[in-house]
Amino acid sequence: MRNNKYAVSFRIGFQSSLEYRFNFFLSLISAVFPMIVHYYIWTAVYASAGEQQVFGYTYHEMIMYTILAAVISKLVLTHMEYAIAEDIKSGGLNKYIIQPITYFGFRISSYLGQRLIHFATSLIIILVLTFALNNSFNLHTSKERILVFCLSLILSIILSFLISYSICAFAFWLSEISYFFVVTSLLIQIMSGGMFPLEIFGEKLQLLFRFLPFHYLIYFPVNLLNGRIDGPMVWQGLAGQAIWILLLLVICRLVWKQGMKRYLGLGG
Amino acid sequence: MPVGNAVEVCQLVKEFEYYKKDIGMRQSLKNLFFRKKLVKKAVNAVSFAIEEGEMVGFLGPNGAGKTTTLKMLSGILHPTSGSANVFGYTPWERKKPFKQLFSIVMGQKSQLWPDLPAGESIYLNKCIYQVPDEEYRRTLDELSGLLEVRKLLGVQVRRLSLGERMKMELIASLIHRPRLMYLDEPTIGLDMMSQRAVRNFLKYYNEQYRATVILTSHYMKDIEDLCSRVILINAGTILYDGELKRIGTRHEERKLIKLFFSEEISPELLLAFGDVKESDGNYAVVEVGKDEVRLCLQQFLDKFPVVDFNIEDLQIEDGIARLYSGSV
Repeated sequence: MRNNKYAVSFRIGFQSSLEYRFNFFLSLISAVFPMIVHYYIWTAVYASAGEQQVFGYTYHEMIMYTILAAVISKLVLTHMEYAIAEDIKSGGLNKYIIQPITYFGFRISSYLGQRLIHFATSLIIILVLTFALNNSFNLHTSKERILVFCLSLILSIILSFLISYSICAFAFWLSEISYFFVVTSLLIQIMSGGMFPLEIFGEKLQLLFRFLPFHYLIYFPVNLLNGRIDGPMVWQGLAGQAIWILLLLVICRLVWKQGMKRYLGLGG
Repeated sequence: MPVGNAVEVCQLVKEFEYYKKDIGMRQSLKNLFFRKKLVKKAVNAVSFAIEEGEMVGFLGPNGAGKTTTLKMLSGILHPTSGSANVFGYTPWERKKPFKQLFSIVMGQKSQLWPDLPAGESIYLNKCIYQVPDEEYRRTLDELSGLLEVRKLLGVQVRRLSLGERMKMELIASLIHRPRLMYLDEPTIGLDMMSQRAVRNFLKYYNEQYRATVILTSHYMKDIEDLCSRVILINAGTILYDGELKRIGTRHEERKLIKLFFSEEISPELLLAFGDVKESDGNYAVVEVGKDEVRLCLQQFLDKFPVVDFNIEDLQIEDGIARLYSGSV
């Protein structure tokens, strides 16, 4: 096991991430600012609305949502599109074509390795925040809920990787791709509920979002933790995540196969 | 496939499609709506065979099709047509046993992780190629000793000099003891001492392990030192395939006469005798046929105030340049 190529890729990814620990802490600090902005916006919205609930969320639930969503989006969204597109554009893929290792396997193991500290720290922050918010808002989050949340978070991370990986395949066809990724990552951030709860977008759009995989990334785990998703909905959601993971595995395979054909000069 | 051939290439063709774009604003706008598709033959019906244990130099100007050929031979590119056989495998099928027996080193592309010590990247390669522990230790010890970088294995790659990094690249790509190596400009940008160390190492490795090597380089010294045979390629076609020495002998019929005069002589006066290669007032180089050397020299001495002269062979580079220009 210690000598498995993917285990070593994981370890090497982990080691190289230690080089960028300062960068990582800066990114955590940068997550604080949107939280503060959101806090003031929602406080103002609730004060002027004069109602108990806005979009079906109480004030406390909304604050908890936006804070948790900010941390979870840091944890789940991959931002590895540029690295993979660079490999495609500059021939970095060659190395994996000629060596007996698959690019997908290498990428996912080194990605998980690189983000290990990130995951662990974010998880601690989420748990501390949940505990703190529970105390100050007099809410109660049960232990089972936290366990289910952790499970869904793992699925979110895998799902998010697969979504990014399929989007990266566009680099096989588009020669100038950086703005494309700016657009897609913004769209994903919005559609996943990383900025606001999806209820804001109204019934029709929300229905559309339900048929897309993105809400499983952030909206679903956050609402698991704050208790808005309950009972059979929990298992339904987890099943939804699993189904999308399987579907995206197929999609990844298909688009990358086509892309590789083009890369290798097979036409297409 | 006859016994002993490591690489056999037959009528290999690679075409690339590209779009023509003329200069100017109007043309750029036109290109937004209408692009003319053109086809370029990067490699055009190339055939050759390389014996196991041979070290062959692949020569050609930039854009001649060297790297494209190497990419096809390593399975990175699919050819448009033609066939290749490398130790019994078709490279672009990318079978696992095929991957195990070769490696490619590109001087301009690093395969090492810049943030980690080179030893880590080498260890990753060990695991990728599933080299047994004992063999890995022996190989690493031997190669790092030969290249004198044993102490640097624990240093971050981005803190290494270019020469040291190149040596690490070589170790990383040889850790699974490939029988075939493609080296694409392995000495590019290196200082003289590093170039020499890399050359000596490649020579040793080729002799010691009978590894087959295909080498491209723009440094003639690399080729002269390492390869007895060269394949010269330009504009996608092979111009010459044979002994390096014979590129020279083809032109052994030609000699260079270097003349030093006591006063300025205009080059026009020398044209009647042969090709004036260089002329700078008191100094001139004239290329003449071997048989004419005696006659020309006598006339030079008679007609011009010659202070000193030299008769020299043409450089290999001259022979190569002649072949290139003859092909275009």
